[in-house]
Amino acid sequence: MLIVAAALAAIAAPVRAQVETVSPGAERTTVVIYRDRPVDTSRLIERSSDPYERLDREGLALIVETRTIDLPAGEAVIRLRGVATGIIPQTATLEGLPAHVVERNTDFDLLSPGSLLERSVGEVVRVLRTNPATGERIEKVAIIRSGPMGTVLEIEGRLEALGCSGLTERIVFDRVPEGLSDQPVLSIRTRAETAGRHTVTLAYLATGLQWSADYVATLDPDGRSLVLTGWITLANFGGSSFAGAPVQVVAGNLNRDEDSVPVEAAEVARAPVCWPMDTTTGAPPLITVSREELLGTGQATVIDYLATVPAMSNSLVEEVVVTGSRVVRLGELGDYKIYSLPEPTDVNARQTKQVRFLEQDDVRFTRTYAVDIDVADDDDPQQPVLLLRLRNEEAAGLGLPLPGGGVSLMETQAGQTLFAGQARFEDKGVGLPVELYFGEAMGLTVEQETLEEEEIAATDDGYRRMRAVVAVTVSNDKPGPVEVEVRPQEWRYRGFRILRSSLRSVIAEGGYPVWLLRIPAGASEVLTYTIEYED
Amino acid sequence: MIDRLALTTGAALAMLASSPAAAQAVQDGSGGPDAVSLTIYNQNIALVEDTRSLTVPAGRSRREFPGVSASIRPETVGLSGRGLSVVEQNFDYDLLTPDKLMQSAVGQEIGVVRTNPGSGTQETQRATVLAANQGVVLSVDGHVEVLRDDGVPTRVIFDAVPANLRPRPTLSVTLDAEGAGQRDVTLTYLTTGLQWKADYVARFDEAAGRLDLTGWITLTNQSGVTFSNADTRVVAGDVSLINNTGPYYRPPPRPPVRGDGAERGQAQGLADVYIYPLPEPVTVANNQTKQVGLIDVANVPASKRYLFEAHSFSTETDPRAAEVAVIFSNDRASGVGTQLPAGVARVYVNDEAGDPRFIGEDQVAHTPAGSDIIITTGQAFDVTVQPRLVTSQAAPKPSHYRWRTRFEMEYRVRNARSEAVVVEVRQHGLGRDTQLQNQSIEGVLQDANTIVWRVPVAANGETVLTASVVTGG
Repeated sequence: MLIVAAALAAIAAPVRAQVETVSPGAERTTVVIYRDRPVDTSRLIERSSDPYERLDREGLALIVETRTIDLPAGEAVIRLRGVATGIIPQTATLEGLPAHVVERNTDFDLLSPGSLLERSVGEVVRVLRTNPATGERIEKVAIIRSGPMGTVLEIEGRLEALGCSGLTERIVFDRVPEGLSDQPVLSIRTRAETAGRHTVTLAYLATGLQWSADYVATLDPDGRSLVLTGWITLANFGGSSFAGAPVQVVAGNLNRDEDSVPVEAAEVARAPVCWPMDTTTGAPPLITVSREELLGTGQATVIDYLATVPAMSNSLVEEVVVTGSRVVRLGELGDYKIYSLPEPTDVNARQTKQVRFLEQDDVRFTRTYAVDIDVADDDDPQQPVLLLRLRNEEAAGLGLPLPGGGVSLMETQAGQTLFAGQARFEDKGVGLPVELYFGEAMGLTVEQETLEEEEIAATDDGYRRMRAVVAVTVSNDKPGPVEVEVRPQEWRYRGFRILRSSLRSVIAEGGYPVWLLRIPAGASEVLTYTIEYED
Repeated sequence: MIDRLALTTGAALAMLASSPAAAQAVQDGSGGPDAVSLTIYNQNIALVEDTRSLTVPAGRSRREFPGVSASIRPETVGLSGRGLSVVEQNFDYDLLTPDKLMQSAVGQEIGVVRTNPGSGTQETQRATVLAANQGVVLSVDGHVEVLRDDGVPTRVIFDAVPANLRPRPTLSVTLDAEGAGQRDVTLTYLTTGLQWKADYVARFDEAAGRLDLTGWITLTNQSGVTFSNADTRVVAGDVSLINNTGPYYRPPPRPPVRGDGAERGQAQGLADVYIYPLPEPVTVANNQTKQVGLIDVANVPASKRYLFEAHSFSTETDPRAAEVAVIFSNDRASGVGTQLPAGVARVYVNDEAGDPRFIGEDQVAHTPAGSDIIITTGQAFDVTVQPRLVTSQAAPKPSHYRWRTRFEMEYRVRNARSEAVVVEVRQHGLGRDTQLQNQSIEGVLQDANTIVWRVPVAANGETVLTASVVTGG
C-alpha cells in the first residue's frame, strides 16, 4: 500500500510542476523613508542596542525595485526573491508586466531544524550512525513518523527515537521541503499570451527603516543671529541592504494603519524530548517538557519557552557613516516635503548614515527668559527658562520647511565653543514661529508674593470666582540686560481676566497673555497684577 | 546517481518491510480531502467543506481524517454522506513522541541494542518495560534494570505504534453505515487561522481631480495546514461570534463614510453580508499571504480636503497641522459602482519626477455603494490652524439652563503652500441651543455638536476666522 502511494507521488510530481521562473533580485532599488512622527535620534540609537527592541518592525519605507523578468507564455509562477525582509506583503504593486496576474503570494516559512523535521513527517530520510569505538558508519533508510517535538523514526518496520540512545546519529535529508526559505518570497501566478523579457517595477512598503532630523544652532557672538545646520539621519534596522540606491526621505506625519505589519517568519520550535531518563547512578536528570506545555495549545509544534531570542538581538547599529558636504534637494510630495539625497548611496543593514540638508547663516532670533507664575505658589516659584524664538521666514534668515527634531545649541564664549543645551520642536512650515526651550537659566532669580487671594462669588454651576493680587520680583545678575516673559498660569481657567497690572500685558504667539519685563544688568523689576478667574 | 538508485531501492525495500507495522492506522499525515471549499470571513474564522471519497464497510467503523485544519474547532464539525450516521467523533491531541511511545510500551516487550563503547560490538536483547516514570525500568532475562543506567549507548526498538498516538492532532469519526461501498463524505467545520480583508491602492492625481482604484482580496492562512485547489469564497460583513478568537480586543474601525450608501452593489448578497467567490480554485498555503484581484477602476473623480477639528473651546499654544484626506464616491456615476469590503486603502501620488510615492493609509469600513469614502492620508506640513479662546463670558440664560456661555473664538489658519486652499474648521464641544454671532466667515451648524466653517486661505497666506458661539445646557 505504501509503495503505491510513493509511486503515485513520484508520478504526481512532474504533473504538478508549473512553469516557474525566478527573479533573483532587483537591478536598481529606490528607497523612500517615511515617518509618522518626529523621531529622537539618540533615543533611537539607544534602543537599537536593546536585544528585545523590534526596530526591524518599526518605521516605514517605500521600496521601488526595477527587475527584469522572463515571462513564460501560458500559466506560470514567477518568484521574486531578494525582497526586503520587512516587506508588508499586501502593499506590493507590480507594473509593466503584460500578463494577467491570477494571484500573488508571499510565503515566509522559515527554514530551521524544527521546520525541516515538521515538514518531513512521512518522508523517507537516511539515518547515519557512527560506532564510537570502531568509527564504522552505518546508514539506514528511515521514515520520519513524528516531528520536532521528539522525533520518532521508523527503521526497517520498527520504531526508534532520534537522539535518545546516546549514540552519535544524525538525519540526512535529500532536499529542503518545498516552501521553506530563509527569507520572505513574493510570487505571482501569471497568464500571458506570449513569452518575453520585460522590465518591471515592483514597489512595496517595508519596515525597519527610519529617519530623523537634527539641528545644530551655533550662536553668533552678536547675540542676534545664529547659524543653523540640519542633518538627516538614516537608520536601517532591517536585515536587507540596499546598495547604490537613490534615497529620499519624506517629512510630514503620515497616517498609518496598525494592520500594516511585515510578515513574521513562522518559526517551528524543536524540543528533543526523550523518554524519562533517570538512573540509579546519580547522573543529572534530563529535563523533559511537561505534558501541559506540549499539548496546551493544540498546536503542539510551537511552545513559547523555546521561542528564539528576537531576530533583533544582533541589531546593534554597527556603523555610522557621515557624508558631509553635499546638501540634499528639497521637493514637494502632496502635502509633505520630500528630500532627495544628492547621489545614490548604500543603505546597509544595521547602519546609520547622516547627510546635511540645511545650512542657513544669519538666522535672526530673540533670546527671552520665560517664567510661569501660579497664584499662592510663593514658597516654590518656578525658575526662568531660556527661550530662543525664531521666525521661519525668509526675512528672518529662514523660510524653509523645518522637519521636527532636536536642536543642539552651541555658544562661543571667549573663543571657545560651549554646548548650551538641547531642545526639540515639531514640524514647522514656512511662516510659523519656532520656540526652543533650553532649560533653566542661571543668573536670574524670581520671588513671588501673593498679596491677596479671595473668593468673590460663587457661580451658578458650582465654580468659585476668585480674585488674586500677585507681586513678582525678578532680579538680573547677568552681565547684560535681559527680557523676561512672565506668564500667569491661570490663563487656562474659565473666565480669566486681568483687572489691573503695573505693566501692560501682551498676547504671546501661543495665544495667552504675558508681561514682558526688561531688566538691566544687576537690577530688579517688580510686576504687580490683579486677576480674576473661576476655579 | 548510483547512490540515489541504491537509496531508492533501499527505500522501497524498507517500505516493503515496514508495511506490516505501518498498517496499524499510523497516519503519516499524507492524504487529505479530494475537494475542499473555503468560506472565509473577516474575523479570523472560516468554514471548511471537505469532501472525500471513502470506502466504508457496512456497520460501525472508525475513520480518520488527516489533513484537516490544525486550528479546527472540533465542536463545530459536521459530517454527511449517503447512508451514514455519526456515532461519535474525536479530536485527538495525543501526539507521538518518544516519551509517549515508552509510556505506551509499559508491560510490553521492546528490543534493546547496546553498543560496547570499548569494542563497538552490538548486543541485542528483548526486554519488558516495567515502568516509565523518572526513568525507565526494564526487566531483562528475569533481572530488573534501569535503562541506560551505565550510560552505555542503548537503542530502544519498538515493534509498533499504539493506535492512539499520531504525529499531528487528528480528527477521527466512528461511523455507522448502511451497506458497504464507496461514497462521498462531506466534512464541515469552522477553523480559526484563516481570515481576509481588502487592500486598496488609490493613485491620486490632484491636478486632474481623479484617482485610479485597485483593490485586492488578501487572504492569510495561519491555520497550520495548506488547502489545495480550494473553491474559495470570501464574505464581507461581520458575523456574530460568541467567543472572541482574537488575542486582544480591537475596536471596530471607525467608519469614515458619508452619504446614504443607498445603491445596490454587484456581489452576491446573503444574510446581510456580501459574498465574493474567487474566479478559480486557489491553493492557500500555510503561512501564506495570498492576494487576488477585487476591483480595478480608473479615472474616479476625487478631491482633497483639509480638516481641522477643535474638540473644546480652548486656546492651543502651538499651531496644529490640518489633516489631509482624499475623498471619492463609490456610486455608479464615479465608475466604481459597487460596495467596498472593509480593508486598508493606501494612497499614492506622483513626485516631481513622476514616480508614484506613498502618502498614507487609512481604514475603510464595509461601505455600501453610493457612499463617499474618506481616506485620511496624514497631516499637512504647510497648512496649520491655531485656535484661541479670546473670552468666555456668562450669557443670559433661561432659568432651567444650568449654564450658558458666550465663547469668542479666533482661529488663525496659515497656508505656506504656493496655491490657495480651503480648510474645513470644525468646532465641537457644544451644548444646547447653539447660536453663531459675529462670524467673519459664515459657518453652519452641521449637527448639534459640530460647527463647520470653510476657510479659504490664499497662497502663502493667513486667514483669521473669528466667531462668537453662544451655547448652554
